[in-house]
Amino acid sequence: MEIKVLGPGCAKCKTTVELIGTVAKEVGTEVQLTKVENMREIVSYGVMSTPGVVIGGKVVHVGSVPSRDQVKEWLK
Amino acid sequence: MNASVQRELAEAREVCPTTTRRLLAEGALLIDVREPNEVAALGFAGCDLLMIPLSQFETRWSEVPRDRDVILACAGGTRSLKATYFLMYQGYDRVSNMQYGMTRWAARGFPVTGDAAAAVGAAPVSACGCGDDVAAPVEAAAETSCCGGAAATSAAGCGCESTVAANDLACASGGACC
Repeated sequence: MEIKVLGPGCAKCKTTVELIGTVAKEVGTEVQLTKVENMREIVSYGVMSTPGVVIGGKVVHVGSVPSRDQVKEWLK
Repeated sequence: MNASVQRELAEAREVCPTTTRRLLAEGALLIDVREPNEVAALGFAGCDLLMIPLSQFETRWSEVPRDRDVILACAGGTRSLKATYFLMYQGYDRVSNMQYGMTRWAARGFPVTGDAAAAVGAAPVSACGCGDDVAAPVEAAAETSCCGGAAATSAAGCGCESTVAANDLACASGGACC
């Protein structure tokens, strides 16, 4: 599963990356996790409020660190 | 949750404050995306102006006209670049970002409301949109600085319009165009 985390490198963005990585290990889902820090690429998803999460090319979350349950749901 | 998808965005067009003034005189609209407290302290003046703080931009972007040239500005040029790309994402094609923002505008002595001296050395402002304190780099307001690296002296403006990827750092050239 390919997941992108959109954000300029702020603390919330880093936390989001770590959370997804941790939960993926817990549930045994293999993910390709990519951080997107370039502003132009971030906004190319229509996202202004970061962190944003993109799965399968679609934005599924913006503006906050997702909850653990949300991440689990995405990884099903 | 919206399910927006990726759209290829071209490099944003960027103009310096001097070129911005010329374009404003020719009918362009300036959009100030700084927050109300920043605008209250020091505002752009002498031009047609619309204020949409970046914090409200996702809900108010449709107020931006599509049928005229618009130039986005902030304190240093980073937040306005983000707003510029967002408008491009929404299909706008007559948008430009003003490089160096109010800091350079005020340093050049262009019209403002408030205390222009406050602009130079102003605290950097976060542009990440996530509420964290990631400082946007602020350029030095050196008298010898230029924008875009090519100091043209055209009467029509400084000639430093560019589509170069923005960074808010002043170039080190010896020109003083904008």
